[in-house]
Amino acid sequence: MTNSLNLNEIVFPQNLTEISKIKKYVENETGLQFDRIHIGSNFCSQYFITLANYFIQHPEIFDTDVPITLTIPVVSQKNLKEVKELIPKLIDIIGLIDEVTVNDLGMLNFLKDKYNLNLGRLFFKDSRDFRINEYTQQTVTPNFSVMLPEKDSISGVEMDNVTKSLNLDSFPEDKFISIHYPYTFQSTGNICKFASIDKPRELKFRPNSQCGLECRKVHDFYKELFGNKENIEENLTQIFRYGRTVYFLNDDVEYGSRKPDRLIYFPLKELANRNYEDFNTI
Amino acid sequence: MKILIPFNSPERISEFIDTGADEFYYGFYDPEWTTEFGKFADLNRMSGYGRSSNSLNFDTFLKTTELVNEAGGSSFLTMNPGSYSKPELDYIKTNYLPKLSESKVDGVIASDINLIKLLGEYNLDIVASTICGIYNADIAKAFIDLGVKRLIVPRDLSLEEIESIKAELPEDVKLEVFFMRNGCIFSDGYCMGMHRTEAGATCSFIRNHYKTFMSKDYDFGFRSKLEQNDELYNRNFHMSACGLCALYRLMKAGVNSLKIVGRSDNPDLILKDIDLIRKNIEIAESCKSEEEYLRNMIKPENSDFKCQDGMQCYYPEVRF
Repeated sequence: MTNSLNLNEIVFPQNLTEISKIKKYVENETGLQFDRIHIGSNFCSQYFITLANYFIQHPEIFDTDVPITLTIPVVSQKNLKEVKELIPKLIDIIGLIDEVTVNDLGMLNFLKDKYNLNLGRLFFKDSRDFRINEYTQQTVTPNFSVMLPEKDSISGVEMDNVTKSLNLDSFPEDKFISIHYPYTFQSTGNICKFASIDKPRELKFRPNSQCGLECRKVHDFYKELFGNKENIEENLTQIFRYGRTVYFLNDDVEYGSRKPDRLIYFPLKELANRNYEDFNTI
Repeated sequence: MKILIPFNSPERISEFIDTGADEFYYGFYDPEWTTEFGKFADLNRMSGYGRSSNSLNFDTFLKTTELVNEAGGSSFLTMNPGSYSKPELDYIKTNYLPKLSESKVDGVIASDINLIKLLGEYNLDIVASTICGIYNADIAKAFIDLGVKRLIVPRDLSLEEIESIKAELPEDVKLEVFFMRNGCIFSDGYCMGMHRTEAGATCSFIRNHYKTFMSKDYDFGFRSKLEQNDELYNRNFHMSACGLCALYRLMKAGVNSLKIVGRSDNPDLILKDIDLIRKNIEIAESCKSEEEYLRNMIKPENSDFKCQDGMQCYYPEVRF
């Protein structure tokens, strides 16, 4: 089992420095070693476009030989053409990208036969709910879409730990399994609350509206008790609304005999609200 | 343009049709399904709300499709949870699909790709649920390639994007849009939280529970904007939703069906919405321009509140 570093959604032009410094910073903070980095976005085409353009203009920040997975979000119609043009440019300029993760059938069809593809976490729609403890304690067998017409084009899948116990035993042996941790995503969408902070009232909360990457400045944190009412402090669930997406902390998950091949670590705690200067202290 | 309504009260079919409804979407409950797969296994997106959202069992569902058909309406069955497991799909294949293929159901609203393939094998017309997340024309075409004949686009798409997607689709593919009653702060297709009586929806937790803003930019100006934005989002935005101002443009774009949502809502309120939409369709058909329609259209009840700032609009860009 390998560890990779998920920089999707969490690095910004305003605080980006050489990728090696960010990697080292998170490694120091967590004690983990990462042999892959993920860039792009699972959830937001505004973020993806801004960062892709920045990466194209500043390829020098990719100063490592660590392989990179490029993640493509579900793109709204108005951004589709632009994103389809950005992807090959990005892959050409950053020579380290050897995998692309897609999150919808349209992008899968567009990129198949061109790149090494993963099905992203949005393909897997098994229920997950931090509020329903009885369900969260159950074992879930995620449904790999065995009849997906393009299954031969896919080399791996990325998924969330939807409960405390995941049975991956029925997954095809030839597919590489990556699991996002320690946060499980529960809900996302095209409307970003934070993108509206600076907008006038009558223009707030429009779907996929252009933004100033306000998610860089602030996120929401909730702490609630849903399970065992003893040892309250230990059993509080941590919930985050970061960018367009709601996550909950869900580490310590069990698997059946088939284990994940890769764990994708999202450094929310380590990187949210960090500045350029923080990475240069290492 | 057709009006598609949430349906849970078979005794009122004639009333709905006489008022102007054309199409009905509804699901069913099955105690044997629940015994087999457990209480968290949803047959459709609203199964967690029990009989208040799915009042019919499979047999009464089939009989109701006949009644709707006799009354001149169309029936669409909702089978759209995020995904089904392999044993669940086998159960559906054995217990529901053979009878459905001989019933008067006009389409099955599905989201699971495996189910979509199965429905095609039984020659059932497939409607891609909003759970499919059809945010662009490429995704739409991928579902059409799977055999889908009708698409429901998400409620978090702009009017211009809906027009653009429709323009790229084959003419025989029908498009359905959200039009009345309830908005959503997340994507139907990518909100994986449960919708259940004991917990409600994720959005109600997010909007109503205490939280801490995590930020380094804590000057007074930023903090004030943050609080005001949050207050509007939690207390005003999409408390209800309406698309009436967009009707003319949706009609011109070739959208086929206007969807009223709210399978647990009071049928009397649904009737009022049907009446309002039907009257506005007639107005739109008689108008020569969008401006003329916007001048003459009938606004929703309580428009002083609903129409003040776009917060209750599916397509606020028409007015703001």
